[in-house]
Amino acid sequence: MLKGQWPARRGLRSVENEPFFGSVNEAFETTSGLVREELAELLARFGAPSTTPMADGPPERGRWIMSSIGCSGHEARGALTLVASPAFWRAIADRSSGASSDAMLSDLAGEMANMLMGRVRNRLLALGLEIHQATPTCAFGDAIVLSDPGDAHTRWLSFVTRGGAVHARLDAFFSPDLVLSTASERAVQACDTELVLF
Amino acid sequence: MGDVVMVVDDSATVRSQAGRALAGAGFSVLEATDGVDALEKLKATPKVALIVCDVNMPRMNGIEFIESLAKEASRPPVLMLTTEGHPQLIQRAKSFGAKGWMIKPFKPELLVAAARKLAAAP
Repeated sequence: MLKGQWPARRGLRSVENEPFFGSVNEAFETTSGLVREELAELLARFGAPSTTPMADGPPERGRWIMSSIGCSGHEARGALTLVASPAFWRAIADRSSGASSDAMLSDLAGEMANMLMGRVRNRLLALGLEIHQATPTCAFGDAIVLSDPGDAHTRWLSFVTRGGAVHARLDAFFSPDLVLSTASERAVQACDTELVLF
Repeated sequence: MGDVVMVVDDSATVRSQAGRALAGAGFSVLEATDGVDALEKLKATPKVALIVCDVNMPRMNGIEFIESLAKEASRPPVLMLTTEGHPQLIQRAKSFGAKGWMIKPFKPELLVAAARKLAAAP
């Protein structure tokens, strides 16, 4: 299914409020679940495990560092956005690279979005969906406004960590014909071994 | 002075993380921001014992970089360090002479172990 054959743009579409095509909803729910799992895993790997449940939602007004990364393929396209406070990113940086200038914190946020997208892509590959990712972009400030996701399915996922809240927004378009399944003939098991030497 | 390891990644964070781990293990670390930068720095620094290279980078990605490197008569071993896990991509890197594939986020001790093994290989 080509982009031009997708449903016409009709403004913001939230999967919670307006049911869409069944398979598209299913693909979005699956992807959303993968983002939640992989972000939780990444946060734990970076020493900021999610501590308490938190209602999903956009970040409140404040000073944030935001990173966003796009992806596209024949049957899906979209973006992942990560938002957290400078203090959160500084705490992660202290444990990993040690560098905590504003530029380095923005870079760290971008790299985190890059890794999150990579991990989600690898999981989707095993369900028969291949997408390609762009390079991340970052913004730093206290009046960050995210672009309207248009007719994409969109959802905020939120986590509380010891270093503060982390919010992720998934925006996605899926082809109505897409079925995510490990039984798909296009399913490919991505390498998940940490290190392979040839 | 230890063996020189070149870390090629467009993320300053990854270069810093990898550089810190490798320098802590006694390697001298040289950084490059993408494939083009790496090729230029390799010309100026011929005695590189290992290249640790990302895949998705602007200007010249990691696969294009090792493809260029494969044309050279003498080249350092290359360890790919990436979020990518597609088997076809791994096979492609291997066909261009990559010696290993490591998935981000990486454990510093694993990177150091791989670097020691690959830099010491004949």
